[in-house]
Amino acid sequence: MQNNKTTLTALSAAAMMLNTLSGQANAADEGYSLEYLGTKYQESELPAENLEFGSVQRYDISSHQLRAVVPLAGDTSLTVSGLYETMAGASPWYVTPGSENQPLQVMSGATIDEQRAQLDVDFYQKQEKSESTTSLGYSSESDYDSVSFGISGAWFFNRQLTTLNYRLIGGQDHVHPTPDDSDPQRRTSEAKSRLGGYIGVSQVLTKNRLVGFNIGTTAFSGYLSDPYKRAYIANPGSLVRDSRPDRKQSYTASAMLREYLPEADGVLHADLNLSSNNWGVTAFSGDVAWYKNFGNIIQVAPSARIYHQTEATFYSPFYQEERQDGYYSSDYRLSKFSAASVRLQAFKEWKYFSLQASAEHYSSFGDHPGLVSFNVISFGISSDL
Amino acid sequence: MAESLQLFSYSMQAMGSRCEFKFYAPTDQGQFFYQQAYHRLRSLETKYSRYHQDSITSKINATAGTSSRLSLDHETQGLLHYAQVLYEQSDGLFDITSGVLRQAWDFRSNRLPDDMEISQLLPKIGWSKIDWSGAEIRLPEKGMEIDFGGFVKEFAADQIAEVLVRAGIRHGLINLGGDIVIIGPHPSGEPWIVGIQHPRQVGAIRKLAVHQGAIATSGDYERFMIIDGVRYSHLLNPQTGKSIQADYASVSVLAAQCLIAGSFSTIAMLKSEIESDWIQNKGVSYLTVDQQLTVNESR
Repeated sequence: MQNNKTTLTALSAAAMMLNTLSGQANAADEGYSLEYLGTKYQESELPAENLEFGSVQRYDISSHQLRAVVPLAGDTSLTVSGLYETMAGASPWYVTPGSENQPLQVMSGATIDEQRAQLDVDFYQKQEKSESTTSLGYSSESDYDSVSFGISGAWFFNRQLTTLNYRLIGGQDHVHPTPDDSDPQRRTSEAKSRLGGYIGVSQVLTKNRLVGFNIGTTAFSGYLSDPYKRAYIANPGSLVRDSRPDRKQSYTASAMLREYLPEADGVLHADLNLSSNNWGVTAFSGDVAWYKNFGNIIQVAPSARIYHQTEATFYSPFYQEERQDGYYSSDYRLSKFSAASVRLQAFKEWKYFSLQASAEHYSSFGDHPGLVSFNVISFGISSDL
Repeated sequence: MAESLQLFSYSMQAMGSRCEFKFYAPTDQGQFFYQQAYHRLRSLETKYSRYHQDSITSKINATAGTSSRLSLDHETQGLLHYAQVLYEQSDGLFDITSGVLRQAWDFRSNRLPDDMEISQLLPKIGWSKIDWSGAEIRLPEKGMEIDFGGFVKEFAADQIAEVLVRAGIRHGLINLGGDIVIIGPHPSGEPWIVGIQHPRQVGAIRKLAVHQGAIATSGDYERFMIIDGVRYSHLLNPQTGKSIQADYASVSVLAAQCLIAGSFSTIAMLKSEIESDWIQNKGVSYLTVDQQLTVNESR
């Protein structure tokens, strides 16, 4: 009886695979498209009890991004993306001990008002059993220039059910901090570079299930400190520059699951990420999202994320004594903290264009007085021409 | 919710058959959903028809006897993989390269092809001869052809139903020339009534009440000729080039997908000449009509 059902099993498996492949877009099918995305990022005020000096107001960033996809001959396309960002507000400067030795944040004295522009160009190529994207990017702001390049791609095996992914990225940044009369020793020109990559594999397990794993590493070298930040040494009371090792090696591993649930007509996304670097920071994050379809024209996606990291070996909110190695940083991003965020995204499609909107709230928790919480809202419109 | 749904009913000619879409949708949205479903039907027809010069089928057939290999998109790779499984599961009887036998078999001529004509065509048949790597294909023999016509209509019926289901449609029926997908019952919960074509006369030999699923029928009545009292149908044996003398006049299969239903009904007809009970215990529901017009139903 079981053997007699071999035909049904074989045909059902082939039909499942056909349905999976049929749903995959082919590069050759892609046309012209134009997309705008506007984003407003707003950091919450610093709690007054955490502040020693300066403004409780923090950063606001507004960004506008325009992206165009232009199909070229054959299975190739060019994506050009431009971004313009305005940033305003105050940022954490250093941390001092309070009357009960509790850490208190000192904010930068002046309100920073900056703009940043970025241009990215991606060249996409589809081959018989693989695809690749070559990327170039340039970003510029008053005290910072950055060039980046990337090569990424995928090879498809096992009748397209298995994919091997790779990415190689590199970049060179030039930091030329704004001169400040009150800080004549401030560095005037520094450079840093990064080179990294990852490899990964993803596997279609069933018609409705996809899993994937990635591992990667990135090497950073050069001036990795923050020229605007300081650290406080209690004995003797003095301020020193943020000074970090000039090399950092980080390692990452991630796992992902995509599960389509036909009864609910939605896709569950689950991601786990682990990273560690030789500065002593080990981080874990878990993401879960639910992409729910209402028909094929409306999609709503609530998501949540948790994050935790350990602190860098040379980090301290403030220092009691000078360090032998000369490394100091009181940057909250190197402290031990946990964070959680929730996000809601909605997407609606009409015949010739689609709209998307999202809202996110992020909070972080830990001992550093300058840990940030923020809200992000975004609005996008795109059109396939 | 059900009160606000309206029945939309469309019929059209496509894939060489009369097709109909019937579904319930909110009054102001039915036309929009129909356009999406119709677009999917036309795109599959254009892509796989052997009559369209720019179709994938024509491009694949143009490689016959040449050294050039054609790159395939994902969907076509999936269809070819399905064709391979059909070939294996039917012991070579369901072969998408057998279409060249049309050159010998003209069912309007009322004349049997002679053995010489058939023997000249047989070397151009054989799925196992095809140079197919998954992402690329080439037909090695000049004059070889493939034809997705044996199952692309069933695949299209599933795909159109999928478009409508993704649009939120829960009550409807898609019928592409007898390849039928029931998306879901009428909003009242009543099943759709599907007629099974009488193989020897106009009208239905049986009417089935179906809430959900797919039905496909294969029969010896679609294209045939009768010579000296013997019925020669379009169901041809790719190994001999001869018309199959099927035990059944028709086989209808009920399954979750139309593609599966159509595959079983066709293999059951092709196999019935030598293994009339092949369809039994295969895990699908079926309705057979034998040559004496006896109906046997297994649900």
